[in-house]
Amino acid sequence: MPLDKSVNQNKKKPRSLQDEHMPSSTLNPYTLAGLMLLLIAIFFLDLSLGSVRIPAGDIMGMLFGKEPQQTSWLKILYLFRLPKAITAVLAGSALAVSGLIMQTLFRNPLAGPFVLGINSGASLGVALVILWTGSVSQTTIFAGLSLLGDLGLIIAAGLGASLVLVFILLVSRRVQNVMTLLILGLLFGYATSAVVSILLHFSIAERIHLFVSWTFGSFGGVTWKQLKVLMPVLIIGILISQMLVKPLNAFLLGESYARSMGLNVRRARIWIICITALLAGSVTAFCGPIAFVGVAIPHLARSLFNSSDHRILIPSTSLLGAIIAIVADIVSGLPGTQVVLPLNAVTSLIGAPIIAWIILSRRNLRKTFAS
Amino acid sequence: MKETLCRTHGLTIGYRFPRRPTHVVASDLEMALNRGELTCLLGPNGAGKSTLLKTLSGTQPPISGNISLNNRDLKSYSQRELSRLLSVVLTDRIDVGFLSSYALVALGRHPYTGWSGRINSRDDEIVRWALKSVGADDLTQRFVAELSDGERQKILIARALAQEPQIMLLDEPTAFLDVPRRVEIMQLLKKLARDTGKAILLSIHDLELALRSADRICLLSMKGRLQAGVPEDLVLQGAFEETFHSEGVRFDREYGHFTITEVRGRTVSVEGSGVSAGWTKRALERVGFSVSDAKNRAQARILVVSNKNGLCWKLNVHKRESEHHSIEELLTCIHTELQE
Repeated sequence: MPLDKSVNQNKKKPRSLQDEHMPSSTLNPYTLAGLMLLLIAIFFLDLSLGSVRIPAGDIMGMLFGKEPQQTSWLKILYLFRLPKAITAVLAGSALAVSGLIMQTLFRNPLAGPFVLGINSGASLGVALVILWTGSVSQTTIFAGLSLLGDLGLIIAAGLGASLVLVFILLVSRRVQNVMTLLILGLLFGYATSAVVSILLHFSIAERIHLFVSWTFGSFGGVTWKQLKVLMPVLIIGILISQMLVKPLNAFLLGESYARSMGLNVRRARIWIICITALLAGSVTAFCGPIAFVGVAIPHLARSLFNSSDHRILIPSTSLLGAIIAIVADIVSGLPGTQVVLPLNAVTSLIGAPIIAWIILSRRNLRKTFAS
Repeated sequence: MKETLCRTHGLTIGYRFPRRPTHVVASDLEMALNRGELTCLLGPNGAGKSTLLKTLSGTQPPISGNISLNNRDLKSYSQRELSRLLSVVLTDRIDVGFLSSYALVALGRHPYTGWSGRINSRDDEIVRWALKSVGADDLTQRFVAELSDGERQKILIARALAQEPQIMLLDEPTAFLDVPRRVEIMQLLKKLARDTGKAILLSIHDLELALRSADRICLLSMKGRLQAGVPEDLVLQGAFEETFHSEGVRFDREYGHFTITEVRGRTVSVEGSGVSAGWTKRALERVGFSVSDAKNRAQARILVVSNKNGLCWKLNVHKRESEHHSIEELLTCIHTELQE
């Protein structure tokens, strides 16, 4: 490459080729630090903004055990904003990573955390609890769950998602081609939405409203008690996903090449599916089906870092997912007002154009998955 | 003594189905791949070339028989061991956007790297060597999605090389390439086989190229028979006619290519020497004349001469003489004359 030569001639000491490549295969430490700082800054912004504005200084003070100017702030921070912000960080990260690994597994730019039908399973579970108990006699198992309130919904969603996972795993052990899974997930989604719409049809208005508001998604409904379950699950899931970089990179060239390079494709596939189900399933159970983050963030990461290497993509996607989720949370809270917008509406309405603009302006969408 | 790296015994390849009878593609295959040799696998479409390659690479289990690699049964290799011994170039489409050529070739180090896939300086050296040996060191920084077909094929070969295999299997590496690029890839593979002592097997459709460059040829017929040998032996044994037998196509043993057989019409003779006479013969054969050197049997005689005005074709039909200045003119005239 003539360009390279001239660069080398200008610098008297020619840079070794190794130096040229090593940074490109892992995330630049400065970028990593920058993203983390940004995340921390936005995290504090999220704690500070809302229907009541709490100055950043007071937040720092409260976190280190000082008394705030107003005692109500302590309650707002600890009971509401802190769990909400932590949930947003973890859920955003989890969804983005699971979207990335699904896109790689299926080699499809439109894949996301929910392609396997995990959200369909969860929404079916929730629909059964909310809608069925409203119309049919109160003696079903679902009625029992609905008495548990939020926890019942979480259990129902979790059960629904796990059932789908078991089904997908059983199928994935038999099928050779991973595309079969994609189509099955799609078909399963249609079937469940049909069942859900039948349930909706026969349900009563308040129940329908309850179900619809679950589908809006929210980071705010998670209590400290629930976070004790959700937090370790998501952290472990995200950590394991960081260890999947090697098989994921091997999958870049397709399963046949991956196999020829010594990868146990079936085992890697099951790991990837399980991690996705764990991450996306638990987020959906606790926060509702949050759209968009999982599909868009991986593209944003590829676009920003010009790479398909998972050693770069996995950490950057998890950080970007957390950042975008927390921004969406701030916006949906409409700082300074009492109004709260549906989270799903915010992620899609505001996030989609921004990310579309970034990707289009870099003119490399085509390259994400070159056709 | 040649060192055989891969040998099959009574190998039967095909597909097993859970509830349907087994589909046998080819059976009783006996073949060997030797160190330092380039072997070409030829056969009509659907004869099972890809199936054979998949079976040899361990992706697909054989129906029966066995494959021994380095005098050890293929089945006894772990996937990781196998990936250090054998690498492949497949026809699968590569559709990753943000992957540089270097990164793609570095993926070939997969069997040697640790859990994170980190490339150490030895890996880096091998990746560079692989890129250099396929003549792609100038493509290092380019994205794979931006490469031409020929360049991408070189990168894929470099990736297979970076796996440091003893055996390389390539499924139609020259498909989609123009003729000079095909020749280039074949020369490259031949050189790699020689210089690095690998056994290379590739499937290919370009018969003439295979005949000219392969050390050995394996012919797989539609009936599932395999004939292997040195190219010239196979030509003389008539193996090509047998394998590619079909209506209207004839294997020309003299030139080592296929010609379209037509009902040969009238006989014409061509005099003259060199390239121009050769192409004149080809043109006449193409339009359905049979060309012979015996002047007395010919219904038309053509003399190709080269004078100061360029080439000139002198045609003699029914004692009538005419002169032409291009093959096109000649063909038009000979047609009208002989119609009468």
